[in-house]
Amino acid sequence: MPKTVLEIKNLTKHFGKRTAVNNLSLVVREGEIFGFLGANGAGKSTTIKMLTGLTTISSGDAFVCGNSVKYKFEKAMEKVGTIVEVPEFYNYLTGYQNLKYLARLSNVKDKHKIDMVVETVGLSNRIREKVSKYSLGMKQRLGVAQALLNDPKLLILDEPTNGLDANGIREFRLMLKDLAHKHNIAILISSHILSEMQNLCDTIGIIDNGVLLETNSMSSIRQNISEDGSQYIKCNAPNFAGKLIQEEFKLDVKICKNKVLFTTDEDTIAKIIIFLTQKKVMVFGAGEVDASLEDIFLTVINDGKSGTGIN
Amino acid sequence: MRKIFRMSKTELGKIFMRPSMYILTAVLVVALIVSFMFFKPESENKKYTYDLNNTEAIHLKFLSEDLEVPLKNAKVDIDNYIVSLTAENNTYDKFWEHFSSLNGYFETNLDDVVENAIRDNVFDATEKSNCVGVFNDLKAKTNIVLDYMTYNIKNKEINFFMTTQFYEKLDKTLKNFRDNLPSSEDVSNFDAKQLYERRNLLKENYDLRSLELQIKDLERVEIEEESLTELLDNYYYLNFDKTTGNRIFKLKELYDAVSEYYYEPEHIQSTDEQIIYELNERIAMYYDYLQMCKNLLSSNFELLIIGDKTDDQIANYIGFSGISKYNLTQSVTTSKYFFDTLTDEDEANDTFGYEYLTGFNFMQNSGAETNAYDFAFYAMQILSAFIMIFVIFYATSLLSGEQSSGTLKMVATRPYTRNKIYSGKFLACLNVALILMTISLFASLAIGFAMYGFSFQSVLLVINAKTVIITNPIVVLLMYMASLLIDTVFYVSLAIFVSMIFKHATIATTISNAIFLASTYLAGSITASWIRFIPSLNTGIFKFFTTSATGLFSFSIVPNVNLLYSGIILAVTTIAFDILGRYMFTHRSLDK
Repeated sequence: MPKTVLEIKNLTKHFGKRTAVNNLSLVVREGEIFGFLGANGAGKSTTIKMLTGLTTISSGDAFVCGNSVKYKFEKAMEKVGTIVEVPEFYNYLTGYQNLKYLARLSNVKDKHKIDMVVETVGLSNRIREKVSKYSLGMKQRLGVAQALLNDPKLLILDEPTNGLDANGIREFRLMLKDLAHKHNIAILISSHILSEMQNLCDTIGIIDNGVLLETNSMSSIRQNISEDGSQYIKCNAPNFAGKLIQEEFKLDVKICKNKVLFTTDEDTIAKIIIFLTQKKVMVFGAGEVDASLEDIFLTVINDGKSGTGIN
Repeated sequence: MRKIFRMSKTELGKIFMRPSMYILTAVLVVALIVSFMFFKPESENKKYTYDLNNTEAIHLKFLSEDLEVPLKNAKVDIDNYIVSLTAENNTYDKFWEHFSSLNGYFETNLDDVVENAIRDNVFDATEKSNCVGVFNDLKAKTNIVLDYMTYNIKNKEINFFMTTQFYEKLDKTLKNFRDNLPSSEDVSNFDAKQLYERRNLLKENYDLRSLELQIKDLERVEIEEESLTELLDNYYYLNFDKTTGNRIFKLKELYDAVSEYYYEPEHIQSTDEQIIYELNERIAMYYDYLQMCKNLLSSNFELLIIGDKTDDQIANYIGFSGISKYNLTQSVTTSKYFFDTLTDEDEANDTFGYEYLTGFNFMQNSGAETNAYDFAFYAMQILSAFIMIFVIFYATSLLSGEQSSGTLKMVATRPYTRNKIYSGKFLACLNVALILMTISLFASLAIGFAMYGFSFQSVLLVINAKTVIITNPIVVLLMYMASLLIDTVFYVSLAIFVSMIFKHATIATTISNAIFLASTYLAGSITASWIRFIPSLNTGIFKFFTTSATGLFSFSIVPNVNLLYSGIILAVTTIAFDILGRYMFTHRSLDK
């Protein structure tokens, strides 16, 4: 079991009467990419800001390698690299000078460290230019570079791909995966772009209205989806239809709202449709289950729980 | 602690790479050149009308002019003043006499005469002329009082305290009263009703009795006889020699020394430039001492008159305004020092302690040549102003500006507590100021040295009006730098605090710089005493170390302050700004 790098316990943030983050708890391990998923205003940014010292914690705490963010902020942040939204640099300095400034602050002793991180993010040929000339993508990369300066064990990224084009996003994703799986860095990344998270993360945490609704690994999500059944029939009486299908065709079924889910071949589906119609069940549609995160997400948000089981 | 220094050092490096630093450097260089061009030391301004080229004139003057006369005149002035303060020619008594006479006459005669005229219902020429007479007398008496007020009270020839308010009330009342007195022609045409009406109008509207009572209560200037005698004995030119019982004429000795020098065979009627120059110097020195003697005496008198009253209180009294206790005390301390330290040795060396008068005087030279220190001081006053403006700008931009631009979050997410970030940036601003001011000082000294050379003359300073120290000019410059640094600490903490309130860096800079510029350059023109409560007007504590420095910008002493008061206000305000600013910064969410 890989070591725990970040542990959040009952983290809460109040803005006056409004509770932006409510009793949030989660764990991120070495080498794991944890995706924080939620709509705008769900509380992702606020959580991350609390973790990185940009805003105060109302109650609860978070621990980085065992160090409390609330009480031992400096020790906790020593092994954290972070990019919060768009990274801003001093426009009158070059990329290199900016990194040198930040490296000095972090007391980075190794002189080659800057060159190393610059190479990791692929900015070696533009690093001596003034940041005012950088594109957004280059700034994002420079942002990752500064986050890596102090050899972090944990990278915290808040909406890091905002403003990047598809190519940029893809490169970013490859770089992060490399960092996590090759260098064993834990990564906590927040986004509202579901497709991106689907391709990148090992674990997903869904947050809505300040509450962490569900945490699940991507692999088990995929498994659940396939376990639930890879085909569906949409009808007006799904429970009744489900019973009929179970008895007649000897299949395991799962009910998800107005859909009956099961796994079988195409011929059997045709027979099932005819069978149900004969039994006076109105069939609205049938097809392959779309194993996408979007469904899960919307379901979780709307129900507060994922759809499982016959009710 | 190390982290704070590391932060400060890193910030410092960053500040020096800012584009605005190039602008500042250019500004400072230009300012240095401009100050060099405008520096006109006032040397040779106190040779009392003696022209080096006209040696005959000099000799004639010396022979013909009794140098004792100005001293005698000084004595006469002061004697007159003493007399005006004692009972014999009592200005208060005179004033009281005039006013009570007016009031008395008003109360009795007006009633009697008018009543009689009306009662007897006789309006022939005799009766009417009685009324006319009374009204005319009243007018005359009122004018006497008004004249007395104008010529004596207003012009400071009084021995009693009258507030400006009361004076104005008195003046207004009397003028209205006089204007309501009818003219002779009018009275001649008045019938009974009109006379009556006019009499009643005056009686009802002019309460001269209550004014009289208030005049009775006016405070007299009281100087104890002992204090007066002591003053005259100790500081007057008559010094009492306890061993011989003779009164020694100290300045007479100086006069004798000067004339002895003159009457030496090779000096008298000499046309040698060097000798003429020396004669000139000695005469100038004599006059300086004379002046100092008179100033010492009059300053001490004024201090005796003020007694325990504060500057505000004195300013309220007509005839006594414009007196600054601090300036008087300082003047007394300086002059007293000279007279007290005149020793036989000095007399033998013909120096009389005079060299201290000609040292580093911040351009108030008494015939001395200027030197590098004078120029450095002059230039630094200009350069330090520019440096301060930029440092205030950096202070607001390092916290507030970086928050707006988003670069602050890069620092805030590093292992530094908010307090350390605050301290580090604060320290960086101070370091910028220190570095720039030091460089400016050296540059100014270098130019000053190239043009005017150094002088190794010691300098006399008076600290907080009472303590005299003799020191090296370099020490004086260091004191000035220390004072500038203290001001920097104050203004940086102010600027950061303001930038915490007004999150926009530009607004914060404008406000902070406006406060700085107004406090430094406009404060001298305001004389209200409540301004001492404004913390930024207590900056520049160097003014408590100088002797009436009149550099480029005069250091005006705000009423009722001294070194301790200013020091405390600055310290307390700076700490308050720091605590509040820090609190706001540590509890602030850094998001756009």
